[in-house]
Amino acid sequence: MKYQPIIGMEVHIELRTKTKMFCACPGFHFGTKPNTQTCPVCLGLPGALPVPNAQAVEWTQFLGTAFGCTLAKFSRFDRKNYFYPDLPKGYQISQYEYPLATYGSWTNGEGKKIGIRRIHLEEDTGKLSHTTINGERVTLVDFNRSGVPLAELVTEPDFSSSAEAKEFVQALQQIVRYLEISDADMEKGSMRLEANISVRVGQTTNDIRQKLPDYRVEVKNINSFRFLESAINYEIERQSEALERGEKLVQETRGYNEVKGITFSQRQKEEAHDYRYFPEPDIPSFEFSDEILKEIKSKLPELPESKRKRFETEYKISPSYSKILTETRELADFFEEAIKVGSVHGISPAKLANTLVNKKPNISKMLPAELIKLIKNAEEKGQISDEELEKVSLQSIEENSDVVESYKNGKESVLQFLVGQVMRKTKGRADPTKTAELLKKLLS
Amino acid sequence: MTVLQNLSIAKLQEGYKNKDFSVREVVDFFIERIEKHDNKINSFTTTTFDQARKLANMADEKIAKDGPDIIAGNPLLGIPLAYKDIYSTKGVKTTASARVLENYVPSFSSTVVSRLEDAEAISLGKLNCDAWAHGSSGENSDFGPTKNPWNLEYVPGGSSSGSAAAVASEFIIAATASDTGGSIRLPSSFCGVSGIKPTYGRVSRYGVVAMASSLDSMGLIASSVEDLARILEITAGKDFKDATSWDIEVASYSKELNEQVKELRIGIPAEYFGKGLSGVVKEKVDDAIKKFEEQGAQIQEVSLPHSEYAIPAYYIIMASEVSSNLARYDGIRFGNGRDAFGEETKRRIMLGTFSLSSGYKDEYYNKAQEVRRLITKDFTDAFEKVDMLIAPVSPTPPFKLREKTEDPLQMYLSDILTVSVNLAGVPALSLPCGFTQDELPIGLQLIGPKFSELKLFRAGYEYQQLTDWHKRKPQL
Amino acid sequence: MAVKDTLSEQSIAHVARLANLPLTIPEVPKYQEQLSGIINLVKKVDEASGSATEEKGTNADEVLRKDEPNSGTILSVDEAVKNGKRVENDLFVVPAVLEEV
Repeated sequence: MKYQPIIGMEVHIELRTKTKMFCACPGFHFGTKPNTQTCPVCLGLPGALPVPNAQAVEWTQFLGTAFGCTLAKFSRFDRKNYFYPDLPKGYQISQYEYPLATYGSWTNGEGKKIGIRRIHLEEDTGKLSHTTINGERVTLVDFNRSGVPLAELVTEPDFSSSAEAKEFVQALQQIVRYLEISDADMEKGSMRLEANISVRVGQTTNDIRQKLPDYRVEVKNINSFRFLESAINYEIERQSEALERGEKLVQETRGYNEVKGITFSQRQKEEAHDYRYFPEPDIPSFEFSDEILKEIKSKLPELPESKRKRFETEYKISPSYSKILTETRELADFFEEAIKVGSVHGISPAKLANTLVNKKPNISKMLPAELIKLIKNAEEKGQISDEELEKVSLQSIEENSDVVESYKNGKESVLQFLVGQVMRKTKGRADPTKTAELLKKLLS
Repeated sequence: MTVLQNLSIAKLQEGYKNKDFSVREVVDFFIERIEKHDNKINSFTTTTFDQARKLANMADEKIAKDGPDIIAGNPLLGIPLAYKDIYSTKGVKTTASARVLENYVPSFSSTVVSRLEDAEAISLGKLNCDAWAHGSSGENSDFGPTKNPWNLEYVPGGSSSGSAAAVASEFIIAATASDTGGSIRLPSSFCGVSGIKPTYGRVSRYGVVAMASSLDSMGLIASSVEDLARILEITAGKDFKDATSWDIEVASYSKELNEQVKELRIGIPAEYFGKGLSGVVKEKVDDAIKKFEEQGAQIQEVSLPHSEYAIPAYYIIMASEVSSNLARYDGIRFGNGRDAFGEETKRRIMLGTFSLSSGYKDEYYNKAQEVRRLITKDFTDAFEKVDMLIAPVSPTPPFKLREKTEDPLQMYLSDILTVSVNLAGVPALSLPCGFTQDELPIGLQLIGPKFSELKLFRAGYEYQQLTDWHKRKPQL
Repeated sequence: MAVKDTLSEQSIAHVARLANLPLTIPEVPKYQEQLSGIINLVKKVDEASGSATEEKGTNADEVLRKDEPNSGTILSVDEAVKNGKRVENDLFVVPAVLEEV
């Protein structure tokens, strides 16, 4: 029997605001000394009250806009009540009924539309670590991370394969970084993935949303895109085999063990799922004016997809080059800045694209103007034709028979000497890599 | 030094100006009085006498150096007061009269405390209350009940039991308190003192141990409307640490008290004068109404039709918020574990958890919120016809200790005349208006629309010019 | 829950669990009786009728806070941990929990 995978993704994105979600403690916490960045609010002390971070709200609205979501005019925070040592108040301030953004979509490389159900804002918990003290196993809690803003994005179960899911989270990471709202670093935990996976009998992928299976398995603790793929694949297989055997699959949460490459069942906590959501009484519900919502769209930086297309049409570069040049905001902005400078010096966008893609200069260590300068210098030195290069190479070979002898006897490193000779003769105009290749060819 | 009696902020500051006495003398007087009598009353949980003496000395130095005019710039200079033990005080134990917090010392102060300290008030300590503010009689403190200073066999009312008892006992000039379902008005009435429950959001809740976040109102208890006005103008006003505090201008209440409220329209809510009301309470409140009428106020009957649903709605909403607010007390970062919770608290947590739980939330929590909107609308509608409402605070005079502790429901019904005000978020001023034959105090409340504190103060001030109830104090 | 009903023992135990309240076995019947009584009282909300519109939201500008640090509110690490019952190397210590990932 052919089983059709039905996959939805839940992604948490840690927003890189200066301060936490509900207090003015620093938002950046990675690598800080434990419990050095807390206050009565994020420590959940008696009498402390939350005051929401406007930047976190705006950035979540950016994210919603980037995915074509409807931005809520009326929104509010809700309490999600449960007990856990990393949750200081015994509830998490999140959004349940009126999230900031809903019902958007994203289209993948094959033209398939993935629904984005909602994006909401919530606060992060403290961090747990485990150790043994005097033979007793204990858990340690650090609240520096408690209260850091998290945007949670939930998709519809529209993915049919691990590859599709992976493509999406990679695009999401790129968008988030483009918007400069998060580092979205999987290793540092500023982007966290959860996959909801079920399978059903079927052969076509038409109308996935019709008759969803009555269960889904939530897989957590996925720490990289690669592991996402393997975890999903493993689950699809595990579930398909279970159904083949006639087993009934139920709603459950599983963790992913990257060492063994398997998912494993986590202890069931039936009551834990009654979160008793109710509106957060310490924060009034709020409304956004139409002007503010319109402004969000205009404030949004250009997204990777649009930029890629624009580079192709505006600068007449190939799709593959455009894709590389728009991979990061940094590179794309550098490229466009360089074009501006280059236009004054007669260096074309195409030439710049070529240089950036093939020569891969370290753009974090130079200004666009410096790159232009280097290119100009290279050009001024003049081009060197293939014939001239060959001529000079042969010359070098002739003049250095002993070196050639060494090379032919196996000492490959001496090739550089010959390259150096060619460079000297052409006054630096020759390309060292190209020269080396040619010399090798001539000497073989 | 002369025995200081019937003091007020004005009297004290006049005395300081005229060098009738020093701040240190006054503070010593109060301390001596507390040390002599509070073992009977049990109004304090923690005293801060050493610090108070230091501050008193500093105040005297200031007055000596800068002259008595300095008092104008420091409105509460040399005024001894105390804080209900739910107000966080940096470096001083804050227990909410609960065993869970018996050793908790906060590293920060609540906004109200900071504002009072900035105004140079002198705190004598922390005041007893029903644990977590859960209670209407003052008997539910984990550190022993507070007694009514008028008669030690009677309850002082709660939950701000220590606040009202200490003011009535003349241990302090004024106390901070809180009112979630009547917790300022009830003890004020039972102890013969004045109390203000401000509009929800008028005074910052930051740093105060939360009971029910959407109902808690941070108020004051003192011996007169004038003193309430002088202190409220300092504690009220927007606090950026409290998202529910309103950015609405604070009037100079104390300076604008004297304006007579001409053509005052006062409404009598029919539902509050029903058959459950004891005869003597009705009598005294009626007397007060007559007084207002004599002054030219227009009295008319109004209706608050959804009053009968107030207690059910209140207990559901309050308990739901309590169950969530008390979730942070897990003994990890501070305090003792959850096994140290008292019975009443456990009841409320469970009631709240039940009301929010899956399968019951619609019927209980959501329905209660609907009722809340209806009750709020009752008030809004009434205030289209009248400027304020007048009503009793408690259906009965003060009751004896242990009289109602057997049946929690009995206790809950004490709140029947007070909770609607909290559900609607409107302000209420409670004033002493008489005594029973047994010399037990009776109080009334004036209820106004949101942010009408000045109007309430004016009416109350006028009433206190015409009557002496608020001047009477128990003999300890 | 029907009017004049009593909460079952399981319901009490369930609510206590959800509320993280340690109830001893002898306590259950007492709370069962008291809670059932209270719930019968508060159930009355069901009978209320009428309609009142929900309040609009507050302007977002008045509710949200600028993303600016404030060194005035942050606690020193000593202040943060000093009230903890069990602290090791500035970390709060609790009995081991199974990692909820």
